[in-house]
Amino acid sequence: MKRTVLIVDDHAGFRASARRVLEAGGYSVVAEAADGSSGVTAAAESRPDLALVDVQLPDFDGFEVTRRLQESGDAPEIVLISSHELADLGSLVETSGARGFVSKADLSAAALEAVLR
Amino acid sequence: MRPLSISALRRLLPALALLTIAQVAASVWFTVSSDREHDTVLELFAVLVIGCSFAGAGLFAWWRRSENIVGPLMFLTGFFWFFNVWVLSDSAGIFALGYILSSLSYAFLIHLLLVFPEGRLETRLERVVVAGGYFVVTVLQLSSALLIDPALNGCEGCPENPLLITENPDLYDIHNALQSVLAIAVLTGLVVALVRRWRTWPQSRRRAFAPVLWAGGLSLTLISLQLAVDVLGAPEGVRQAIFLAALVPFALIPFAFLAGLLRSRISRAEAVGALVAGLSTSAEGRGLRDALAEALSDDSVELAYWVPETGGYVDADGARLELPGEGDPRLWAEVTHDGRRVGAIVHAGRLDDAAELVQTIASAAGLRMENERLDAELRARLEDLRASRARIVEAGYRERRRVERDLHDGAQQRLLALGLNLKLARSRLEEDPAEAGELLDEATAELEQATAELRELARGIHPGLLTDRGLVPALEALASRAPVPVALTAEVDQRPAAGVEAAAYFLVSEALANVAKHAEAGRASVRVIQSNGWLTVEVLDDGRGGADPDGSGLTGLADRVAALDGSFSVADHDGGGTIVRASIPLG
Repeated sequence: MKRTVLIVDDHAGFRASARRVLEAGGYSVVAEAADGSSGVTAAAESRPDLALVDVQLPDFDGFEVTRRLQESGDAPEIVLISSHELADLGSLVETSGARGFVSKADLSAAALEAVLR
Repeated sequence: MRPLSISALRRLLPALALLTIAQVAASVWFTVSSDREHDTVLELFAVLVIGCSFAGAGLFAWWRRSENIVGPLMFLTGFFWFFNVWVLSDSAGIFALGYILSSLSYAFLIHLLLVFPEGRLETRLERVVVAGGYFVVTVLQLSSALLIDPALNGCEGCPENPLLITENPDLYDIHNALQSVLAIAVLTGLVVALVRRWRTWPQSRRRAFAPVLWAGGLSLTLISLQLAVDVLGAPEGVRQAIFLAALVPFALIPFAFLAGLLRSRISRAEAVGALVAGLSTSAEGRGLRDALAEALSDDSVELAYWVPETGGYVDADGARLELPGEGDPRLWAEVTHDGRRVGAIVHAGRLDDAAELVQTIASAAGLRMENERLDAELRARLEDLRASRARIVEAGYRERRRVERDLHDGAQQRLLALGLNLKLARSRLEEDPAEAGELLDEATAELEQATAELRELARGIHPGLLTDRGLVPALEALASRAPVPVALTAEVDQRPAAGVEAAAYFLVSEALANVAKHAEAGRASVRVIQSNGWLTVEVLDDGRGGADPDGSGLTGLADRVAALDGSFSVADHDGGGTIVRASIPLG
């Protein structure tokens, strides 16, 4: 059975490309959200296996989304994404509680598998 | 000068003087013609000396200080004092009138002491005491007149009281005791209020005006003592003795008032003389403001320095200052030097001759104030410069943040999506060439968008055309891209310095952006003229006007122009719309 994914990113063009890449890699994208609060709502409604969450969002950032999702219990696996490199974010990713990080430029099904393995 | 009804009443002074003469004649007549046993000489002496001195000093003060209530109150105290001998009249009506009206003197005196010398009540206690005084001598005195039977109150030979409504001596005694107790309370309040007032006064003022307060306070204290012994049932002789003792300081009040006026004027004239002499010999030492405050006995004195450039006033630190306007009790006098305005002296105007003194000082202080004005103007400019520099730095940071945000949200996201699409296309190339082709088409479109956004961004940071070809071609391009038709007139012979070109370009760019966003305009015109070492830039639209010069975009432009020593203005145009204008020196 295909793993289900929620994409939280404020850039529609990027969401569309990410959906293609993930679906080509065997994932099923079940929901998209353009900001943090609708991302939290969408996760509660669609209950995906995995949430790809952009670090920079218009209302609150991806770390806060991670905290709220985990607080609610029964959270999906969370992978943070960003146009920045991991090194640009210091230890924030490590302490966020997210499963891992993938740079947007490197996003692919294989990169996700590597993080989730 | 503020219009006051008391000033208008000044025209009545000759009539009031005549009325006083008539009052004196009537009082003398009632005293000498009385059949009752009394000491004519003593009564006449007390009434005439006190009445005439109060009324005379009051009329003088009223004439001299027409806006101050002190004169009228002093006159009224004296005028109503004469009614004390009307009770000697054998006519019942005149007796009753004298009984009712003579007490008014005390209320006027209480009021006088509490407003002296400024003519204003300052505290709640003072207002309560004055109101209490008037209540006791009007309402209570009138009701007393309805109850008193002179024959039962030790006045043998007095006419019958025509106002008497009931012959009940007990009721009168109760009323009398109540009235006396209330009067004592009012007089005690008066003493407390006077002491409080005294403590706030500077030494010079205490010296000048103390005699009035001492004489007034002492006489009213003795009168309250007399009321107290009366209530306690002391013998008539004691009561009479205290009353006579009270008359001595009472009679001295008008003289103390005149002496105080003279003393304060002499001491103030000396202070002003010293101040004026000091101004011409030395610019060192204490500040002009402090010297003025002392000379005028007015701590609220402020100096306002004229800044011709802004057409406004600033204080010594260069901060903006407004002169007192309508409804402000303070006054101000303009200071000039060699016919030019250099500033103004703002003062409380409490003393009658303050305005004259300030005018004298103002004419002498011109040179000294001109020097201080230059200092203040310099400080104002430095203050403006500091604020403008801070705004430029802040605008720089803001601009960097905007560029970072534009890059991140725009071109960077497009390029990331483009990268993903290219990778996907690459992986689908063999399996599904048609889908790979679609992905490549989308990637191409994303690339074009990203390129356009980067171009726009670069132009916002600094347009290449401006660097390469100069101001006029850059403005032509700007005008052609504007959302409303723009008529461009440019007379620029030589390329100005890069900073001037950039300021002019961004001024037009921001102004046209505002036209598109806010002005609801149908068209706009841009004029750029290079002449006599200045570059003048004007952007005019035919919109609704009312632009806010403090909006952040326009403030940024003003700072940019100010940094080049230029001038900048935003105004509604006479023919409608908004006109933004800047002049920047070229050299």
